Amino acid sequence: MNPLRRILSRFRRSADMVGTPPYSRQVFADAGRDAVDFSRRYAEPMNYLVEHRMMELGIPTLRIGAGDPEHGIRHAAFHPYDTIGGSNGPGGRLTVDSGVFNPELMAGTPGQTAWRKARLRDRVDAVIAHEYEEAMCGGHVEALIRGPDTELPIPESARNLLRSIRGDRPER
Amino acid sequence: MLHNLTVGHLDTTLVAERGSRVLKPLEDGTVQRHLNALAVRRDGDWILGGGKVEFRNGCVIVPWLSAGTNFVAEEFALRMVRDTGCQLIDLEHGRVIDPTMLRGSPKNAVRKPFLARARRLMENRWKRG
Repeated sequence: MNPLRRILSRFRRSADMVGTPPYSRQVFADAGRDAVDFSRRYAEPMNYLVEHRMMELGIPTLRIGAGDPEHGIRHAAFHPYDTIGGSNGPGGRLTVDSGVFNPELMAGTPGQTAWRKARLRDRVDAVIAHEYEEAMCGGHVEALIRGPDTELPIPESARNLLRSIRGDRPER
Repeated sequence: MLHNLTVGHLDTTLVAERGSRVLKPLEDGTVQRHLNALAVRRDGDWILGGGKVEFRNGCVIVPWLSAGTNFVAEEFALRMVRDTGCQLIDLEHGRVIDPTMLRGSPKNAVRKPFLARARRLMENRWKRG
């Protein structure tokens, strides 16, 4: 390149991109915090998708979503600030949260490898089924046991994920 | 999917609506004493029974239920209730936890504060070479 042009190009404003380019954005070292950050940015479409999925699975409308007054959420099926995968509140209201984006959510448990490898769709289905069973039978341990045999029409891959979380060995 | 225990001086009337109002922060000295006894320090974080401890608004949040029960976290919560009279809640699930529901650790599974400190000092000495 002509040296004069090269010097001029240094003073010219590049119109390629405004703001910080995606490749130079900092990524959190903690997968959980990264999941919260991602969930916060995509909370609205995720809420739509989770609500839609719960309706597809036959969850009664009154049990889809809950409020989170601490974070100014009046009613939503997807809570971006929670980090536990999902929850069931009073009245059996089911929610899914940023934990579904966290590959390390089940770290230190029998299902950690299966969770890490699972697709997002299966994770969401597994969370919904677990919380549904927990709301029905009233306990976390019972939900772990009953989760894979849930009456909800979740796919076999989500049932396998729940079996792994329960501690079953994978079928060969 | 997972359950956390929030330990703190909280207004439990708001728990059912997933709200929490902290009446006063937990005493730092008591928290540190029990963490010294039960938790391990890793990369600047306290790890209690395999899960990371969080501090938020004067409360301590400990991992409780996942594939199994975190009995060390239960022991920590029980000690905090005994020493400070604080409340235990499962904030995300909108439940107040009755301390009698918790089992805690068996006595021989819990490290003594003095031994924990001695072990940490020895570990630091080994690291320094």
